[in-house]
Amino acid sequence: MAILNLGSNPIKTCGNQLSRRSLLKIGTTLPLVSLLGAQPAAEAAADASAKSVLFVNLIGAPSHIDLFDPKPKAPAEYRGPFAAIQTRTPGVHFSELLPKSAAISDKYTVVRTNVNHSGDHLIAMSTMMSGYLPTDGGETGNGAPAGYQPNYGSIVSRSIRRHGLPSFVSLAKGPIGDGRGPSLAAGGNVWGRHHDPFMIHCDQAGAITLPGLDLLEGLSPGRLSDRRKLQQELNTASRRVDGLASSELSALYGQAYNLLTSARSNKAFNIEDESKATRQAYGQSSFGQSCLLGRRLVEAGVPYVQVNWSQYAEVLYGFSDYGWDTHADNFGLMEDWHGPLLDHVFSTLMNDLDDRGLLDTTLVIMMGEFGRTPRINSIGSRDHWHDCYFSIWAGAGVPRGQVVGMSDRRAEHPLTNPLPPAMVGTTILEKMGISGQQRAELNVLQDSHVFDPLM
Amino acid sequence: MYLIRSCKALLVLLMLASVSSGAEPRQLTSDGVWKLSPRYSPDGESVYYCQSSNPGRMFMHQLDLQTGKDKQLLLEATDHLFDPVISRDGRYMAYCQSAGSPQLILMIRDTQEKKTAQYMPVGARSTARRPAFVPGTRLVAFTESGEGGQQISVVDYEGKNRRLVTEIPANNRWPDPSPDGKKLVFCSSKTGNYELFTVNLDGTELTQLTNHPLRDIHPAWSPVGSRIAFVSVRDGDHEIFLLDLATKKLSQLTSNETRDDFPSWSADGTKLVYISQQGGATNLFELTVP
Repeated sequence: MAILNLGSNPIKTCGNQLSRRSLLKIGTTLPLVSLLGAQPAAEAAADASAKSVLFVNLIGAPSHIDLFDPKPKAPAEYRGPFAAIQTRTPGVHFSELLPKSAAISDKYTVVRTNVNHSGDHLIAMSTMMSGYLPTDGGETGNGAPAGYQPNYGSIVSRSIRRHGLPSFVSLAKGPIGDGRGPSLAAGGNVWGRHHDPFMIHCDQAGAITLPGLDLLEGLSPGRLSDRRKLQQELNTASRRVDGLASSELSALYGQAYNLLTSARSNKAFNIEDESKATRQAYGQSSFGQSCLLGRRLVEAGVPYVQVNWSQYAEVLYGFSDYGWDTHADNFGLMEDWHGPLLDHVFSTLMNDLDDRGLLDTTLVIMMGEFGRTPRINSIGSRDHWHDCYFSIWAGAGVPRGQVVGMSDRRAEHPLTNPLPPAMVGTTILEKMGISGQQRAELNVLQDSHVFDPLM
Repeated sequence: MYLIRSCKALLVLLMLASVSSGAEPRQLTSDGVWKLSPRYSPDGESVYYCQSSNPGRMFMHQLDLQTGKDKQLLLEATDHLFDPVISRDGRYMAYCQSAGSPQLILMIRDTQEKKTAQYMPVGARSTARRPAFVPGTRLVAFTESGEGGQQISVVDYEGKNRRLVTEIPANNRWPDPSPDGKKLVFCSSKTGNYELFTVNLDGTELTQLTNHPLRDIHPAWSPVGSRIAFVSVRDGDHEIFLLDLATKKLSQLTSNETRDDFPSWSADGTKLVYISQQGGATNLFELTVP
């Protein structure tokens, strides 16, 4: 039994008994390409090392020096209060905030030399997910430039489709970004909104909702009991959605209906099929249950799943939901919340994927848009730092138990192997079997290279 | 670390000898929602704590231990609320509230007069955390952000006359007063990672109590005065320990594979309330301490 949210009223659905009203809410958050499970399937090269990507997005930029790149010999004004602990990988140390992750460091690679182009959340988040700074120099009105290349997930979903499944799913309670607005590379970007991901929110109890639309709030399911009424409501809704023609929207709803009533996708979304022990292992948090749902989706065959730590980068504003932007009280928040939650959920996810054999065919990446200042600031916390930070890579042939890239003694700059966003994207696509020729045909990531230590 | 964890079963057996608490912990909540920093009311009839609720904000709650009824406090607040604590006479409640840049501001609420004083740390994004009323005084000790780290400060009930207790170039956090109000126990990273220290309220006589390569945090001074409860990750995850101040002997009160954190004493010194994440859920538990 799955739980879907209709407006403010959660309802339970069994099997493929999704209501039409659910689909209305789904519709305008379901772009066409994400729904191509309803269209003919298309597979990547047979020799691709990854069948699916699970991208864990640590929104807000976690402190690399307090997590996966500790510097215990750095001066006190850099190293922070957390000790470094030995991991399972000889000679490799993590922060003491990560004991469970340290105990399974033989399952994944840590890159300590990521770099980004900007220390602005919206820009860095967008380049992290698309590879490049914007191409047209346009402005969106909130200070962030427009014109980003498509999200890696959109590229994957355009190339790889599996029958009865969405091809690009993003898990968050709404459009990801910061307090100024959404990220501009969360989806199709220059390709258009119809290449955006299918968004799902999984709350701390594992209840699934479909965020982004309350266009038809106030309607009872009974009013949508036939196709004619449904079409009327769609037409009304279409007038309230920017950039989508009514005919496109109708087609989209139709595809949504077809997709979400398929037994295959319904089963993938049904997190309650999991054992109590498994659900408890992931823990009662939105991030934990989202990672569990993410695992279910890649297990079912969804090509690209992005699990977002939070919707917003910020942490202490009233609107925010514990993002990693710990300008204030970094060390208190890392102790109380972010450190234990990340360590628990990440280690559970990695163990679960490995136990099920999914690391053979699933590429896992975990990273934020940048790191945080190694030098502790004037209020005892850490600010933005895009010159050096970490990413985690696992599965699909990524070497196990490896650290790639060495940062300097204060974790401020890479000494070796800098890994820029475009190289992250190229590596993902190559692992998914989307070749240089295909990338050229799609006009994406043409002048970048794979990151050899991960191949 | 993984070697330490792999030996945990053995540690559990060893600890059975030293953990003489006869009673099983009593589970006080069952909703499983993420919680922080519980503290008893002075009369022992309720527990104040903060809890993360949708849409992802931290709220303050009061749990009535007799009826099991739970109520959210300060419903009108639109920001995050942390670390509630009640004065010994039951009249004042101190807590921290996010605002502005964002900061975390120390709030001291007179529940009789319905007035709230505040202390706002200087500077954008500056913070106050974990207030504690100092017995025998009209002072509130708390953690305050500062250049390069945090310090322990005190202010009066009007949020004025702020004074630094520590001036240690490190992270100094989580002050908790001795029953006579003359000393504070707190944690400092001055030796490299968090250890327990005591200091006189005037900043003199800094004394280190623990010394371990892994962190010791969240100390709570027993109302009886002879023991300090704290959390250590020395066996692989967050567990609650007791330090006997006379003998310097440590005993471990919890031992499991999950996080047990934020111990706080009942006024009579016989019980600890804390959070535990058993079964993937975060709940309040109460433990009788021998």
